[in-house]
Amino acid sequence: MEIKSISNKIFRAAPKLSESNCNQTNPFGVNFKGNIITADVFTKAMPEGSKLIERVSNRSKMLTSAIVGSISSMNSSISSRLNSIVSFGRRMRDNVSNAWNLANNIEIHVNVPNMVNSLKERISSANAYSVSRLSRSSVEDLAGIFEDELKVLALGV
Amino acid sequence: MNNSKRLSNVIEALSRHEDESAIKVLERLGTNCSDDEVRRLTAKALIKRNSQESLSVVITEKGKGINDLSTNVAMSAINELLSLEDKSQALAVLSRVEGNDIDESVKETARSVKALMAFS
Repeated sequence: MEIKSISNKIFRAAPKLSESNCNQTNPFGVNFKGNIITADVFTKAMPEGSKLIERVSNRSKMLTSAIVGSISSMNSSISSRLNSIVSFGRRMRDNVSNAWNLANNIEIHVNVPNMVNSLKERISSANAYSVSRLSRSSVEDLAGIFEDELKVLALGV
Repeated sequence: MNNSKRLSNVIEALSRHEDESAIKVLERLGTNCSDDEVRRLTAKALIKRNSQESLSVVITEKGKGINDLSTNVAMSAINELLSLEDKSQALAVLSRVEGNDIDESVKETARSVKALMAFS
């Protein structure tokens, strides 16, 4: 075999899409996404002299194909919606299980005596300067506290 | 509790104290303080006490209470005087200012406040 014939066989050019689709025509350039009813609408409605029975049966065929087409499209839309709901449910379940596993793995250490002591100190220091507590002190004591606080203010602490 | 809150509480406690010597402490330490906020709180505390002695400090003394050099402190003291429920003691002190040998600016401020009190 010659090299040229081998390269021709291996590197065959792909047929052009326009050539392969030459049987189908789309004169309006519109893509139709609805149900396609298999009926030739470009033929004359009914040939003259056709019987009533034939006319009725043609019409009923059109009607049934329309109904079947709509049912099949409804099925596909319902199933796609159900799938999205199912995937949502799965995501929620996975999130919950991940959160639960994480929570189980966390350890919290609480030093209760230290917490209680620090809280008591904070409350007592706040109470010491409350108005009700200070009102029970003597004027001399209050004057001393007043002077101390003015010194702190002057220092800008 | 921060410093400003503690100061406010001490001044409030002195204002409520039964002992009259608390007024002297407020005048000595509070009205002579360089900080505007302390002077404002002290003037307010002395007015709330509503006695002749405490009101005299904020009405008749130059540079204190309604005569304070800071407009903020002076206006706050005037507001506090006008919002007193029982104004009889304050009116008595304001009337006494006019007759005394006191600085003219102090007399003028007292006259203005008395006029305001008459309208409030």
